[in-house]
Amino acid sequence: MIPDRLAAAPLAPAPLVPPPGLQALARSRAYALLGDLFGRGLRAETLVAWRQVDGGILGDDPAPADVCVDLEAAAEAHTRFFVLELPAFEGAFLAPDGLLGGAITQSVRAARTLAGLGDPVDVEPDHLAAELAWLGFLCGAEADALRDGVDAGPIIGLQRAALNTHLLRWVPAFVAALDSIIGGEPAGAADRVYQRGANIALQVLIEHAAVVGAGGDGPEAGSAWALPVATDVLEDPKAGLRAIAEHLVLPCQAGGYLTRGVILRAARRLELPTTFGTRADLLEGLLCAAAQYSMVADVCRELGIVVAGWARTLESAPTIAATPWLDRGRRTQALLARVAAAGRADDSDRLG
Amino acid sequence: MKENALERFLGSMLRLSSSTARAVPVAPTAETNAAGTAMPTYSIADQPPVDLTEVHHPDGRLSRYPPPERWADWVEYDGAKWPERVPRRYTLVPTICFNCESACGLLAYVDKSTFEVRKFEGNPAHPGSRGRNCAKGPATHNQTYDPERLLYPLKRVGERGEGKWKRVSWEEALTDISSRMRESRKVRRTGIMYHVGRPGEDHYTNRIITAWGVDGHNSHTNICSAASRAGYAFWSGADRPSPDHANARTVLLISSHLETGHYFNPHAQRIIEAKMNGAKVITFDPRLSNTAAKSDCWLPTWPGSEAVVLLAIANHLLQTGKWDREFVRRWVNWKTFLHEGAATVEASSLPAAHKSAVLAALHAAGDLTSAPDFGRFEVALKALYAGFTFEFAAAEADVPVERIEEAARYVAQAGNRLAAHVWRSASMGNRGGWQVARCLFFLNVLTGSVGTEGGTSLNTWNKFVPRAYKSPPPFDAWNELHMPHEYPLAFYEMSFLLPHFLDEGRGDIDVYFTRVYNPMWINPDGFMWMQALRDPEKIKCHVALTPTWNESAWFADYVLPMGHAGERHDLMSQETHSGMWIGFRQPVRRVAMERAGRVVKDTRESNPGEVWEEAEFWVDLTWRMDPDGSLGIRQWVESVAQPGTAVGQDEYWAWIFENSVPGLPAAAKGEGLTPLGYMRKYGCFELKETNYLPYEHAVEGATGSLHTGPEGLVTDAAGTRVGVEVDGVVRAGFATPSGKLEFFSPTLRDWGWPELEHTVPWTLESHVHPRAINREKGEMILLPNFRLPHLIHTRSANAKWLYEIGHNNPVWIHPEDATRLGVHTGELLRVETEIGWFVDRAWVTEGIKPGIIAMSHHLGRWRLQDDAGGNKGTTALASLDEDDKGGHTLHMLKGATAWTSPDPDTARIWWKDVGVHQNLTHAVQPDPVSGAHCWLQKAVSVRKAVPGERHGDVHVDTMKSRELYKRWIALSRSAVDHSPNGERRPHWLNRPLKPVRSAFKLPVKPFGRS
Repeated sequence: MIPDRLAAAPLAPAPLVPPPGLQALARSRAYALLGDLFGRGLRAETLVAWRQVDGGILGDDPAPADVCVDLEAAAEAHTRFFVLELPAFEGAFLAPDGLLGGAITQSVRAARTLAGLGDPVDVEPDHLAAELAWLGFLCGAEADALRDGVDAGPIIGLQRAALNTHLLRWVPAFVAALDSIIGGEPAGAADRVYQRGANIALQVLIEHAAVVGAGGDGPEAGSAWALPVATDVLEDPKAGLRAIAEHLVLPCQAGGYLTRGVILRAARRLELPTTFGTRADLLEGLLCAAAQYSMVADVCRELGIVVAGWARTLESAPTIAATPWLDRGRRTQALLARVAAAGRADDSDRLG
Repeated sequence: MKENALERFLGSMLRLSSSTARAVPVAPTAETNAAGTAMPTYSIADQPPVDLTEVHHPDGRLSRYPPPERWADWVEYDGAKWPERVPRRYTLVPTICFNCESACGLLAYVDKSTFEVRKFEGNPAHPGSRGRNCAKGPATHNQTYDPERLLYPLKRVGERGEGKWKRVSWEEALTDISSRMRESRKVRRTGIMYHVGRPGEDHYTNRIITAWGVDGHNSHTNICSAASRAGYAFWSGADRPSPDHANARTVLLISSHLETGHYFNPHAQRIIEAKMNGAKVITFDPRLSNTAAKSDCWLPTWPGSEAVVLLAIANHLLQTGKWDREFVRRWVNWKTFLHEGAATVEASSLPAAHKSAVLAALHAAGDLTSAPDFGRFEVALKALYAGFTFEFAAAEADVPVERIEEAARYVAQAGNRLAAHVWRSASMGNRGGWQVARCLFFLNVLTGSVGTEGGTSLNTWNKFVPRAYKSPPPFDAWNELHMPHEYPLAFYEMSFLLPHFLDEGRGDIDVYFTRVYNPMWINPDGFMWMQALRDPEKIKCHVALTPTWNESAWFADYVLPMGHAGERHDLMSQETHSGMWIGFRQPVRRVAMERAGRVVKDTRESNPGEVWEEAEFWVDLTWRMDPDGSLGIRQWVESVAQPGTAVGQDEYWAWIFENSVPGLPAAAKGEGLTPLGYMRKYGCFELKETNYLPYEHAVEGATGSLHTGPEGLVTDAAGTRVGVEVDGVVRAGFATPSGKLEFFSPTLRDWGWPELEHTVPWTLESHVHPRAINREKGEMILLPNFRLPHLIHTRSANAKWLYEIGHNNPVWIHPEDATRLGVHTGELLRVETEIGWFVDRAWVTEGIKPGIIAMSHHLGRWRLQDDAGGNKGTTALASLDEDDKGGHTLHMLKGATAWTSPDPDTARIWWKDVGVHQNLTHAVQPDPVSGAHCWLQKAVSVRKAVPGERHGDVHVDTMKSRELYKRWIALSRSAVDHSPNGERRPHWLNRPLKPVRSAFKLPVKPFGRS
């Protein structure tokens, strides 16, 4: 259901630079709409709102919105992206094991409790939809406070913490991963809806962070931007292709989320056979096949292109939060180069 | 996003209007019945979901299912509403899939408020399918809610085939049809014909037909399985194999059982189990099926050469001593062969030296009374098959000799755990295909893997058919339209020749029922069917019982809407594995309503529109046929509990489950249920977990005045079989005249087929043997009968999911042939058979042998009106032309199209090609022994299509059809000339419905004899 704030009566025409209360309300609505987009996909009910938005997810397609946005296609794209390809959970990106429902989920749950919020009704609290809605709630509370002449400072503090501790830490990598999925294939209008939505969300977060003093490198942020400790999988002389695959599918180690589609696309490009199973299974299968056909270097090159794509997205996002992801991506490029060299040397004992 | 763009974005958030408020859909809470007219709706539960239970499969996999104790009241989240958590409340009702013959268990999720069916999933309690289904099971939901389904009885208004119909009441239809049946029955006992596709049930309708006192059962068996049935029956008396795949060491398939076939899902899961336990899988198939691709040894045999390869393996076992000599000694009728086989060998075309070696052993054997020596049989056997070398087989089959050696090695390694299966494929493809089944079972016999764990059982050991509360006696009639004198050994009715029989004046039909069957489409020579169906003099009243439109129903007088898997009562059992079970198909809405306390008088109250279940329909019709009981028919459908009224479904099934299913009453009592309540709850019951070696069971009390025959058959003073004596013990034995497995078939010898190649497992030259196909002239073999895993002939045409998976049947052609013809994938080919031609797209693939083209026979559905006669997404719009010289042409006008209906998915049909109806161009090719239609066709010409020849177009010359029919029927050997006892057919052979013995007497004036 769309939050009440979205359904509120229209306000008077906005001044050129809205006062803080209206800015907060605008962010609140934006987060709510964006959260709904990632939680439930573009729907007829929210399409009404998106059509009233400038520079929104419907973009600048020359065709009228109702022609270029097919809700069935949008629903299909939503499932394809966020059910099948790219889990939109903070835990999937930041947890050392890449698994959901662990300490990070608990951390978000605790932070919500501080703001008086219980668990969301339909998803885990660290889902992008829930985190955006949470922030939307906080912005709405700020708008209410400002309207009522109440001190909004504590609420802004909660926003700052939410941005520093959670959203800014992983949304840049999420956006980069979504770009890598869409960037490799001809994108339909429905696909672009979510790509635009993700990029808008990131921009709003960065702008919001700047306003509330988050997203910086000051003492308040502390070590928030650090990712889990980096590991060098090749340090172990017995590391095989399985270990390499498992390392590369961990976002916090690889510097991004290597989706199934991206792995399969690399296989298709190189005309290499693939297997079934988890992403680690797929990647291991691809590396094994590459080893058999002396194409390890080719696979590494393809993966390197993906990592470079992540970097392009991250570099375009003016936030220090992107820095650790870029660092990890550079490490991954180095790792791929070493694997490729080993492959060229046909060091099959070591790799496989 | 640039800064000003972000400002604009956020600024516009402040201008959102109140119209963004959304309307929350109101969940329905009242009962609905939307099938065919709207999409179903479901209520919202006021309870949280129920936990699933875990089921450990024998193969180690873990699956989760609703626990049976919660089936009556089950809550789970609606997956379609994700990420919203919308709980739905269901009652789960088991039923049996109706989309193929496997009889897999389904579990219908019926909404507790609206009584709509939310979905069909697997029934974990079902012993055959074990909770798993293929794509066709869940697609039952498509069929239930198909917007094009038939919901009301229709009666023809204009001429047959004109496409003018009016809706009539059941009362009007039943009154007219039953009065016609009554009048026919009063005059003769051959005027009513019930023509069934897949029965999908085991006794109910046969009992009804028997009650009518007519020879009225006609089936599709002779286009499906007749040849395999014959091969197994001549050996064993049972007409189907029942391989214990799960426990096999070697699985030998002349089929594609991992993907299709009888019984695809139950067999496939067990073959995989065997593979996981290290079993080897051998597949014979000229096509690289998915099964072949997953096999350890694929033998792409030239069609018709399969028996040669099997005998080469048999010869290997014999010559290397890797056969179960003791099993053969105890259970094969070798004494009869030693005593009587010489004549058959003398008459054979074996080379002189070869023949001498065999005869030397036979002549030295003495007679049956002098205890012939098994050692001499062994010598004779080795001599007999010595010519079947690997090299000979490799040359005949056009496969590498090493591949045959490998297969032989796997068979030898199997010991008595060889699970082997053939059902359609090579048996039904070739003239003489019944010998493929006979040679395949020969390997089971030689390895002693008959009825063993991991071996091959017979269907009668694993299938259970209970008896009803009272059974009508056999009828006194013989319908020559079913079993003509030319085919005394046919398995069974010569159904696909019916139009030719009618055409040449063998008879006519007063009331013709086609029951979930589309004879014009599925049989070869469909235009001959069309001519027959249009002729009111030949078929006076045609009643099509079908859930959906089909090509044949278009030419009917009545089209009566029947139920799908969740809309009918039936009882079914199949030999899916080494156990024995029954499954209960149920009208799931009716059961759900009754669970909710509603009283449902007949199933029409719970089914969509006026769709009826057959079981109630037959009772009503039969009652009306004999309203005063004067024909002696009514009594068989009369209630015992309430005499003078018709038996209801609860009474009928309650009696069976209480009195006719061993173990069920006790199992029900254990759960505090009635036997009927148990079956309504679980939908199935397992009678035996395993049933190995039943023929070895010692017969208790086999004493007194007994007579023992030459092979050990023991009969009592009245001539009734007691068992068969083996090494001094009377055992159950086999259902053959000798009580043993009949390596040598006196039946074949005595009924006109005395030659060696008929009486023992041997090879018969196929009609598509390389000598019959002049490849230099461009002739090829058309392999037209392979299946697809997700479709089932015309029955699945109204399942949108299945058609989205696959909807066309291109011509598989090898690159060598494609290059020769200058054709590429997607281009049109014109394929000419002996009676006509069709145009289809080519699919160039190395998955088929050079010289052969292949097409799946599931596709190519059509309709003659744009808005009636078929589903627009699964049929093509076509027109028919005919000249006055027997020429018929089917023109494709438009392929599949999207359309608007209550189901939004119909607007999303994205495909056009729905295949080509190739069967129209197939000549009838009845095997002279088994009566099977030999599906493989000679393609006399295959070439690239020229402008004007359009995809899907078909042309047939029915004058040629008649010529081919005459050519093939001339190969038969009539009982009039060969019956040893003045009867039409060996009495010991099965018929689906067997008349009284006196009806077996040969006719006084056989058709065609002056």
